[in-house]
Amino acid sequence: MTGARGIGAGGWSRAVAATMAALLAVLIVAPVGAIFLSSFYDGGPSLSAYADFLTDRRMLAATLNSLAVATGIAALSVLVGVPLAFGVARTRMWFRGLVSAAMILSLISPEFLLAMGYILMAGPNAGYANQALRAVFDLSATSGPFDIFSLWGLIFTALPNGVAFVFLALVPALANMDPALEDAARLKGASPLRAVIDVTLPLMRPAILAGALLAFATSLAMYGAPEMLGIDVLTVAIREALLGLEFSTASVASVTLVALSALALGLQRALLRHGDRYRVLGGKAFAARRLDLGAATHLLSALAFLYVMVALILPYGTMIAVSAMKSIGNGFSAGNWTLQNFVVVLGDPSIRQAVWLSFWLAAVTATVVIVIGVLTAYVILRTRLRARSLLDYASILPLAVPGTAIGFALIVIYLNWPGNLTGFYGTAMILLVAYLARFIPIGVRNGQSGLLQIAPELEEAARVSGSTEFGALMRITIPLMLPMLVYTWLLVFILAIPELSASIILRGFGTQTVATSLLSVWNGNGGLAVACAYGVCIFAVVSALFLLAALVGRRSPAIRKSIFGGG
Amino acid sequence: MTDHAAPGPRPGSPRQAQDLRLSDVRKSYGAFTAVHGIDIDVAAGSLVSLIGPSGCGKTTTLRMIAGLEPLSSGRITSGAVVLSDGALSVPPERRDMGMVFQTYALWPHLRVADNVGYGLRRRGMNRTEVAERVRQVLAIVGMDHLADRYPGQLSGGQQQRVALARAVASQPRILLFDEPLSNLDAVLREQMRFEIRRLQQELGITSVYVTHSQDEALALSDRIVVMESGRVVQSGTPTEIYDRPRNAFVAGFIGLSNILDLSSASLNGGVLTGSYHGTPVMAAAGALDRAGGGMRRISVRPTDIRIAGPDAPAKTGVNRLPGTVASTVFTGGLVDTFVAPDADPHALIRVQSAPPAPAGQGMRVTLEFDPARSVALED
Ligand SMILES: Nc1ncnc2c1ncn2[C@@H]1O[C@H](COP(=O)(O)OP(=O)(O)O)[C@@H](O)[C@H]1O
Ligand SMILES: [Mg+2]
Repeated sequence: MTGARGIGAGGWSRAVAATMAALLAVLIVAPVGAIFLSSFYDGGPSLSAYADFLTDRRMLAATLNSLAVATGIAALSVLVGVPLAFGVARTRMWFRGLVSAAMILSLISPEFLLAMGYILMAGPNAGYANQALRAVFDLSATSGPFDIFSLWGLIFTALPNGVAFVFLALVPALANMDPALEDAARLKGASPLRAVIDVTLPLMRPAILAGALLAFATSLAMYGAPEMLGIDVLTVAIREALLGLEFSTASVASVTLVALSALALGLQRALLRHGDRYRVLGGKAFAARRLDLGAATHLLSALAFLYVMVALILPYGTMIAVSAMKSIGNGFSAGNWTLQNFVVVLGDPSIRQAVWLSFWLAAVTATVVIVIGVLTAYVILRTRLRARSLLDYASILPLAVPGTAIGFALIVIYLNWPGNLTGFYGTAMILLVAYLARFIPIGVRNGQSGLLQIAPELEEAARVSGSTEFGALMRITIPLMLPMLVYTWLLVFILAIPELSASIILRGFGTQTVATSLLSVWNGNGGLAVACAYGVCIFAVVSALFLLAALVGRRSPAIRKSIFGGG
Repeated sequence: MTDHAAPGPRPGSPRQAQDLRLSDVRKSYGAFTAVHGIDIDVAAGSLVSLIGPSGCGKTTTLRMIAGLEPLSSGRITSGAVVLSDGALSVPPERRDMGMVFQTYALWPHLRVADNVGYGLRRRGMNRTEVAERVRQVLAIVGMDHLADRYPGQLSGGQQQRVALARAVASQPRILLFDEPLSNLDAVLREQMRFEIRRLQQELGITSVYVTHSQDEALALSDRIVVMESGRVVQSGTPTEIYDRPRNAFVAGFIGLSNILDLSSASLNGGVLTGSYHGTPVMAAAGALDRAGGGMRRISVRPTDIRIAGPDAPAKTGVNRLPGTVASTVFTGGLVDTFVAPDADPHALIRVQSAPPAPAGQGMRVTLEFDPARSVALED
């Protein structure tokens, strides 16, 4: 309990702490508890659900698939992410800005958009890349050489997201490294590349591992890409179990999913906390030198070019191109171009309804999340109430709970007494509850980093000058945190608009969201080209809003850290 | 707690100064006790300094007075008003105090005028009254021409003045300072020291001034409270503290001091007589009432020692220590002469005098000092 400095001990801060505790209990602790409790319940306390799970081939296969995909993505992310991060932070490699942009886009743009692009490119029969390769190499086969609808295809599809986690964990560590550490090796006769391999990379090990673990955890949690590629991972299996009303199967699958993510994220936090041994920051920021690696620089530039093409330009380019095609079968040919698909998207009443719902949900979520975030961060950092460490833990809990599992938990809660009394089930309210649970960690974390930038004396000076605790918060603290709050609002809004994994489980007949309606258009009741036009619109909105958010944050060190600081 | 801090008269109107009283105030953080039951009285309209080494509990004490830190036990009262009584506490915003923080704590998003006017607005003054009062206060500290600047556009000294103006703007009952000058350079520090004293006396506001600088404490205070490890070691007027330090810590912390160990000490009518390695030495007993088993220490200020020639005739009632000059250091206004006394050649006694140097290195001298200016210490 060190470090807290503050005056919050009056009735007001107690009331705030109690309110936040109650909100977090309802929004977060109850769902997480429901997942675990329901798995041990079968008319009475029972382990039968676990026994069934262990003998259920389908579920075991899904678990193995999840592990294989997550492990593969984590490993490949390191392989691709480390050289790219090194290239951007420490060399004169080309395309450094483009690589950074691609990383951020793959984190904020929903995974199913990338999946759409890759399916269009690498579908075994009609994929444009496959067709082109068959034509160039004059292959007589009618399918291949790529098959995106496979385990490897899924790993490939989700790779940019994983690479981004490794990249963003590594770049700050590399950029802040004390150059003297490498110089020491150079003085002993090592070449620049040798010094990097012998000194720099070992120092970066915790950051690399932390990034890989994040990649692992988020890969476990993804739903859209495996669903579209037809790969049976845990998230997909949970949804299918729920569609078949097999609640006990779904609950054990959820427990497994949560346990695996919690393990990975717990390890990741431990690594970052005990990283002192590897601390490379001597308290002041170093401007790490850019190294001249000779020919190796060109290799890095080539990798960067390939990465930007494969992770950004080709898939989104394909999606954009298809969105303007009259017929997908005619491909890239003259006379096949039209804007009609966009007209269809903009004119479709069910899409319009879904868009309104998603905007409403995202706006309310973002607003509530920053309020809860600021107040919870205030209790954690500015009071000495005993409850504050509990609030701290409760507020980050959802990071380890994939959206699919939250969706399942809310079904359990709002179908049964007393949750059913709210009447939330099947309405937009249950979606709102799910979104709040998912995004509260962002609000609390950003609230804390914003608050940490503000010296407590500023609030204390306001108190001595006659402000109440609430008055000081409103007149001094919040105005000073404003850039962080606006940035956080936009970030949550951007992430909530295309939320899929909880929405698809919780949506009712009248509550399609952007992501679920896009998926149903894609799955046949509108056509791929229309789906692409829809996807392009989503991508454009999300990117534009993020640009705005980045502009808001340009001058705030706390925000820059939260964008580029990894995690 | 029956009476809360009264709302007080409207800021801007003259008012009666109030005293401030800390009784047995204690503060613990878990197992660690930062302040061990201290008593401090600040007379109405006076300025009391809390001085002591870093970590001795000065800031904690000040924050308890401001209501920013709850007391573990004890009472703080002002006039007839109980401000803190054990865990019960008037919140800071109702204590009617002004505070100058070590870091100034100016609000970076508000202009200078709004920083200064903030407290007035909170106390319910209307805009035009506030503007008028802000102008007055900024004029007092010579900052009226910068009223529209933001704090980030000011130098350290200017920020300091704004912080001062903000603290006094609402004519608070009590003013608190936490090492307000420690971030300024030496010249500014001296200048601001006098300005703070002038302002405090002009306004007649009861003040508590935390510092670790003896110069500041001596120059500013009506009374000084010396603290060590969360306890009050001694309190008194600057002259009392300087002339009659209670122990070696106070003697060394406030001003320079030579500490001499006496053996076979005995007390006789307000005079302590003992032996400094065989040489008889006398000192004023002060508050001392026991010779303490024959071992006693005395403090002699370097400025209270004269250097005489080796053959200077003995005078009755003056302590004499023959010795050899080890070194002399010229520091501008003063010369430091370090003398190794014959009685204890390993010791060095420091003497300060006006230039020129009274003796050169290696010369034989006799140190003479008045028993009335030599103080027996309690430890
Ligand atoms: N919030 C706190 N928690 C634990 N210990 C504290 C806290 N605030 C101050 N202390 C301790 O109390 C002692 C006195 O601190 P402080 O009053 O700031 O000293 P000073 O102002 O005299 O330098 C120090 O040892 C400090 O470490
Ligand atoms: Mg202090």
